[in-house]
Amino acid sequence: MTSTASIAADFTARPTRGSVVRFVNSHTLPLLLAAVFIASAISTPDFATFANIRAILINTSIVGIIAVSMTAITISGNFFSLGIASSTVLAGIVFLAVSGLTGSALAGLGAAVAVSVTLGIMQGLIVGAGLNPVITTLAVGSVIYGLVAIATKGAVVTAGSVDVAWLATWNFLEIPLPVYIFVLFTAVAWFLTEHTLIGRNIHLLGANRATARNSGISPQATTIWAFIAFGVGLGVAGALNASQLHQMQANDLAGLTMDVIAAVLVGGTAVSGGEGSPTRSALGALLIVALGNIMLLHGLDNGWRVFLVGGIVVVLVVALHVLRKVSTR
Amino acid sequence: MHFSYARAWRKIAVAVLATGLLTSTAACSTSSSSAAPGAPAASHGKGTGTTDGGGALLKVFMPSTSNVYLAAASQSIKDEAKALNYTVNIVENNWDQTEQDQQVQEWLATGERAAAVLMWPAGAAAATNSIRLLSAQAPVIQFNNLVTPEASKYVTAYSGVSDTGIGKEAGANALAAVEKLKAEGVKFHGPGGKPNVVEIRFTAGYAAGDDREKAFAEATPGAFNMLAVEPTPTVDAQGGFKAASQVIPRFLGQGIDIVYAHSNDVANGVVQALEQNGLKPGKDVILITGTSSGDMTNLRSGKIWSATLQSPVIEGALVVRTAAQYIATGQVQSGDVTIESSATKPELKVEAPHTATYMMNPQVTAENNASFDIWGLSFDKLMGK
Repeated sequence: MTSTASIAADFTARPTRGSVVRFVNSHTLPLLLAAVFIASAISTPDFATFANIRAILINTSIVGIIAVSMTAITISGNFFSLGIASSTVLAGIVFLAVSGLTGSALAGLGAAVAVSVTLGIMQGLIVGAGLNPVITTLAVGSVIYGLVAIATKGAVVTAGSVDVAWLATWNFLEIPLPVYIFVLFTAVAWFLTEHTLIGRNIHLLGANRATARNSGISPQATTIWAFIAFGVGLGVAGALNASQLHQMQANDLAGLTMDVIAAVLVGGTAVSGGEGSPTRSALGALLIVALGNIMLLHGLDNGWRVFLVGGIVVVLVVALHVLRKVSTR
Repeated sequence: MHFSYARAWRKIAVAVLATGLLTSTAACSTSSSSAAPGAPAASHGKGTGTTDGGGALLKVFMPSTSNVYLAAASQSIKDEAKALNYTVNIVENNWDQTEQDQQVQEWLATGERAAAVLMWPAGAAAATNSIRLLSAQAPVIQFNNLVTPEASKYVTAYSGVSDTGIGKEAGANALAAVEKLKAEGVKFHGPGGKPNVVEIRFTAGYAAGDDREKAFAEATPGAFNMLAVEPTPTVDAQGGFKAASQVIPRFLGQGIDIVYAHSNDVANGVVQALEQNGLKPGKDVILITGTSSGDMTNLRSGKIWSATLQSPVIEGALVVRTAAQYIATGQVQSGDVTIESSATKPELKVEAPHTATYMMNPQVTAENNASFDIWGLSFDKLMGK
């Protein structure tokens, strides 16, 4: 027989245990990242050098920007976009073409963002109407790839003699611009997602679509906002990528979609929606690149690096899923 | 009200998606010209006696022309076939061997006859069954992907690029660069004054990368201190940047003298990674590359020391000429041959082709690319631009 005292003790203990689990859940990634960096700085030669840390940040920036911008889609319960690679290539090609025509990289950047946002709105309309987001984004990605391939005839697109490289090479304290844009983008996305009405609507829509609708939240409008944020990220990332390499072609960025999805998952955003944060997606992208870098510095072959990073991603995603379940019990 | 609004959107969305899927499917598979009745394949040992195709069909299976190299090769195949009075029908796949296998089976089921099949396998290691099935219908001339031992008994002849030749040429170019710099008094960072080399190779498991890595090593025995061989995640400039930007900081302290990248396209990414690490490509680091693909700005400015010509126009023409020679003679000469660079296109003779005919791989540099003249074509024309 359970005593009143034990029930009371159990009742009062629950929030404490829940709080601990919630704290661990929300701080697992930053804690893990900090542990990885400290341990690697001690144990891995050349890890803590400025050049290496800069390389990690540069490699994180473009995948990170897209992962951060896609987080709103996942939180809103619309899974992922599977058209990331072709959409980023399109943005890069628009950036180069418009920069070449106007002589201004900023005009190219504006055009890339405008095109990506327009495509985002179109996809948002379709997905918001209730169509499966995976099929929609996959089909749109396929259409974009086909159109880019037809329009460019597979040729390498450049901006001609116009200097677009400064967008990727301009630096402050020897850290190039894409890294600052990544940090700024993460901060803005975090603010919009956590501290604005549309951000709260995105969370609520993902957590419980029926309740959100009953509360007067428009699933369509909210989904469109999520896709607009995604479009901005794609436009910026496509332009930065194209400026970094001064060129783009239809078949580029083949592995980008999976890199971005991995970053969002490692960040702990719930695939089913309602839970997640752009900041954690940014840290997820950083952790994946850092792990690959550490293994490279230890001289592991490419096969082992891919295997181990993949394994760690699986373990992390499972652990975060279990923690989330426990904390919501 | 809201319900009907949503339903209307669903209908629009379904229509948009259906159109999109149809467009993308169409984009993945194009055929060049109307199929003409094919001529019977030349039986082994008994040819037609002429390189004139008489309108016979050459059936081509190859990956998508969404890549500039394949688009140029495809156009070259059509041009050469027209010149030799053959009809061409090209079936493209989206770099997918399963899709290509299905296309092969569908074509065989039509009963259409071809004088020869020109086959660029999407994945040579998995294409043996398709090649076997095709070989029962017509002689198979394979191009671009080297013939695997398993498929060799079904392939009549190979014609096109030699990854071994490209690796060998890149090795020779690297040795020549070192000699030139030594003569100018440049000191290298490796043990015993050897140059420190980082190799940015094609994706792990990609056969072309294996051949180029091996041939480079064999062409430069003991000449370099190889610091690392790093595979790219993808075979493009972004892949080159990703690989190089991680591996270069690791060896900054030791000093990097040469980077060998498997293609000019990949090397464009390496240039960016070197510059972001404070190194000047072309001055602090010599960048030797394989295939002359991608944007050539860095090569023309001297940031890339040299590339190796791999012309899709030559490759496309060569595979048609090999097919025409086999159809004319019904025979194959054993052994392989690498065709010489010449200002004029060689006349096609009625003689048996070799088991393997490789295209030429001359060096391309900032100095010589403007004066290229092979088969009467400039460098840009050779690259299909």
